[in-house]
Amino acid sequence: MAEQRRAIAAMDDAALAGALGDLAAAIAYPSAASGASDIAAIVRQRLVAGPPARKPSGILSWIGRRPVRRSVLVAIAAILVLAAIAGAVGLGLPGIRIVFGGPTQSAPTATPSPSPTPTPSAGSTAPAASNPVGSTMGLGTAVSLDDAARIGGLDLVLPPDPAIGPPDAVYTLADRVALVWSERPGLPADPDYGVGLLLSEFRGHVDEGYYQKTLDSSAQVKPVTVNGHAGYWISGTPHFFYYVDPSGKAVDDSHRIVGDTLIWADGDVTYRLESQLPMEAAIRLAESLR
Amino acid sequence: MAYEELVRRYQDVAVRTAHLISPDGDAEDAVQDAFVKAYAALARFRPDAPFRPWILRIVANEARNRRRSAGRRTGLALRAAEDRRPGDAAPSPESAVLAGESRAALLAAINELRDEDREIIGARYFLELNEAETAEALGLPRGTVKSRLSRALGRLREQLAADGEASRG
Repeated sequence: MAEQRRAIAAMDDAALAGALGDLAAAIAYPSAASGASDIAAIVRQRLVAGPPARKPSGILSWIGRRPVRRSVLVAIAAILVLAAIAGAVGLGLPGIRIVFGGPTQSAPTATPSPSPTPTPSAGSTAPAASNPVGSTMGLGTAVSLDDAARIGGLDLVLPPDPAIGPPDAVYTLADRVALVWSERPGLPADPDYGVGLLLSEFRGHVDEGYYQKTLDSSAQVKPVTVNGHAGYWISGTPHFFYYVDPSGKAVDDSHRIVGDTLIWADGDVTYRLESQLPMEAAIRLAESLR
Repeated sequence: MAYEELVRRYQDVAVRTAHLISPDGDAEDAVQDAFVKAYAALARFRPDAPFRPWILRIVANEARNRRRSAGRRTGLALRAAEDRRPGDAAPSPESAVLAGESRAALLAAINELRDEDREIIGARYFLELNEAETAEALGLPRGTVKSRLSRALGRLREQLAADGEASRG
């Protein structure tokens, strides 16, 4: 071995770098490094089983202690840039921040199937016998429209079009309200959940919180206006939402993705409209909400 | 859950990272713990920062904790796979020169380095992180990566040469 060692020691920098690069391919890693263990599933199980014992520290506890109105969803944002991103770009919008990234690694981008696990904070699940539309999406607890407005502390806006009518199901999760319409003429169903329209409404405070969204690289983000309010049209790929609630807990809110997304803020309320509609139609629908 | 998808994207490089830092530790265990902790810390992730080095830093810290608690053992070492070549990669000129035995010699010398040197060489050459990613993942000031790497490579050469002298005759 001494011979080889001397030979390597005598290499110039480029050759040594080449030798190290060559060695990289030969290193024996644990089999888990090549997918032998489904670490992702194990991590999910651990997260569902319970929060880590450690108390939130740093900014998490700082946020938790802020004298923010407790009922207000401080829709902050934890953000996951799903990519090795050089120079990610954040688009500012009061109450909303969107982050998107560059090319992803060669990871599979299979659409996650509806989770069999109810969102822990949902508390209860809808009876299996009468699954209302959206019941498997982790949107929260099925409630009446009136209760949703009370829980969310919002004057909910709805599409006035009688052809659309009232939502088929209403959910709340914390004080976020999700209104779900199944397929309608003009509102084609999304392939995963059969949802024609998902309208989310929640309070996000402009000063205290921000709301972020992470997009896969193939997503397109286009600044738009909805009744003069700044917003974004996000299309192209499943994307990922995270909130941090007022207690500092990250809330994975990604199940709600049912198509292209129009997101905008009006005052301290943030709206998210997801559907299979093209952009112009989605904006028209958004501007019609009363 | 979307986080699961995210873990899936980065778990391989995370396991490699943990293994490079603590070869005789349980890399998978370290990675699991790191991803669970990262979930709780998502709010601290800066939105304008890349995710990979951020998660790798948490992984690296987990692996270092394990290395510390395990203590230095003689068995701690990176190993080369049994001359398994990536089937689709054409050998570079260097790799043609560097046959299996030479790889073993180089790896042995890397294993003799102290932890910091092995980590930075591993990050740059084995994980192929760039300088900024290396700094973030290993918790180093960004401007020092180049010089630290240079010194680590210098010590690697010394190690190679010293052992070569000692073994001769």
